[in-house]
Amino acid sequence: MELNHVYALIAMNGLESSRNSLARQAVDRALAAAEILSPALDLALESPEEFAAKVRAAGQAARKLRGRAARTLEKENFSALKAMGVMEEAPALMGSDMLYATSGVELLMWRGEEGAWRKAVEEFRAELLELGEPTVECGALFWLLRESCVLNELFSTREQDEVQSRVTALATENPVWRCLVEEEFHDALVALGLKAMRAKRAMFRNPYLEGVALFFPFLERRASIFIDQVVLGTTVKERRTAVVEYLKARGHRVREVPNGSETLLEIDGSFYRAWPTTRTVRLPIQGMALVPVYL
Amino acid sequence: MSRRRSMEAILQDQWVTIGELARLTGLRYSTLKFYTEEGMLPFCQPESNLTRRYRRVETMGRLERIGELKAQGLSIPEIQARLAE
Repeated sequence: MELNHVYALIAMNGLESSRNSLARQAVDRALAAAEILSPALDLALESPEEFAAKVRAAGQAARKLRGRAARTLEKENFSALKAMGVMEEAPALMGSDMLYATSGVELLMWRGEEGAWRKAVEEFRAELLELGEPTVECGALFWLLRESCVLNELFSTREQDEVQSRVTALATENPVWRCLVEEEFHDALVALGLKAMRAKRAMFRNPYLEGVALFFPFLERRASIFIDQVVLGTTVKERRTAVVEYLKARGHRVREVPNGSETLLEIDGSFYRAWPTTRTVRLPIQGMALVPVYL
Repeated sequence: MSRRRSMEAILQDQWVTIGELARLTGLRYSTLKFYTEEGMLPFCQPESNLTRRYRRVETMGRLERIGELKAQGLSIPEIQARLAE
């Protein structure tokens, strides 16, 4: 798999394809850069100066990218990955929420094949966190993922510090790493927006605020999925099975994962706890809320 | 600096890195690192600042064995004991 396809597999996974989001804009820019950099990786070994020029050109192309060209790039990358059998367009979990499902709004997302996605991510993580010099592909991938604000989803906070100091050391010794570290193409406003969204998400990871999000779902809407079903007189297992069947019928990958004394649901690669609750519109509606779990 | 090796090149070589092991097996880096640190995966490291290298065939076999023992419900110390037999 070429660099641009590896990047697309990692970064497009989980992005909503039917909605223009800040995350999507950031990924689109990096896709444009990846397309230019991908055929030029050999230059990093032959002529670091020429490679640096290519990196600058890739950065410039990313900064110039606009709407229609971005959609074309997404389509090309998605089609290539689909042909390889490692990505598909699947329903987004938000579309299974009662309000979205009953209003007929179809929300779609790009979903990478689990095995291929994991292999790509874990190889990248291993190269960056292990001793020894990382490959050119790893350096280029680091640059693309950093500029599209995806890095923090692949590394823990402690690992991010480790990676930062590692990359700083590599940049002082190696001209290829130096040019990758110095060149930037991210949109400052998009990056700021993503940072704010991340800060909000991190806030709701606090166990006390999880409950607040459950009662006031608009505070963290995309992590507050409500599925209406009769709850009264049912057991925990019956409720969970009903949620699993409902989500599977809507095209999601769902797995029950035992975690100590409780059983979590792994939905499209993210963990959730199914919680019986009611939503009051005009009358109270019984159902299950899916609360994200961060393991 | 070097280029990432193709799958064909990896499968022809006797030695692989931990990143290549992750690509071959689909196991998490943290899992492979844990097994290595627990002494369950023998490796070779010419110098302390160089990449650890694993014997491909032997390591893949060990990982398969670890997977089977885990599926049988054995704990890590029990798996370590079985591997040492």
